[in-house]
Amino acid sequence: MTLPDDDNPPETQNLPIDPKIDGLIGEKLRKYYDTLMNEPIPNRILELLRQLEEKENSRQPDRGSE
Amino acid sequence: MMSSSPVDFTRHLLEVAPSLRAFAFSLCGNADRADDLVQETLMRAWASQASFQTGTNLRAWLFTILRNLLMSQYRKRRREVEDIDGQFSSRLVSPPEQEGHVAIEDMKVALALLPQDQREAVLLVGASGFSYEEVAEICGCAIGTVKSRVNRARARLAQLMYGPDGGASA
Repeated sequence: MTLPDDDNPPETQNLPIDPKIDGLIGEKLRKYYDTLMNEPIPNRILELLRQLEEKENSRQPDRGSE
Repeated sequence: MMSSSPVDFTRHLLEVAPSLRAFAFSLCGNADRADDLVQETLMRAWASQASFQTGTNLRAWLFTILRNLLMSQYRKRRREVEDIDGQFSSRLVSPPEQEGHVAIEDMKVALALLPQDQREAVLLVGASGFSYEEVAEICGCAIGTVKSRVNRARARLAQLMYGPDGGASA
């Protein structure tokens, strides 16, 4: 494992990226991220949000409309 | 000072949760830890919602909270983080030409091999869809710094996933 900030060899900085490869990288990155985003939210987080909502509602009753 | 109702605020948190989880997981590579981070982020955001100005960027605000939490964990638990990264690097085994879920796994591993600052920059710009300006604010650095981190990250990803001359051969 390389240390952060020590990992920028000059040849990497100056390397022109093949636009085709760069496009593929961008595509893969988005696909990777989309896969993660499409995972269901785990119950513990949904439960937390439910609790927060209830807490807020009980603190401020009758705040029905804006 | 809130102009949206509390229910709205919680609903907005729910809307941002999937992308917060994706960001957290991409940064730390561990699902449980990612969800811990998201949970902590949502609690902090909720607790300080009065300080959030409606109309400004809730997504960027939440990402900033999560990113700061992770950075302080990195400082506290540096040794442990290095262990996690060590596991990552030992798993860079699948041939880059394979597609499908293997490609997803490749990206995860390749991201883990980037320095932290480059990893977060390329994720925020290239995957989360933030502007350079927003990322500069989230990471607390100059726009030019963000741009150079993103460029270096993409060049490194090209090398990791397409071989040593990944960027060069045109």
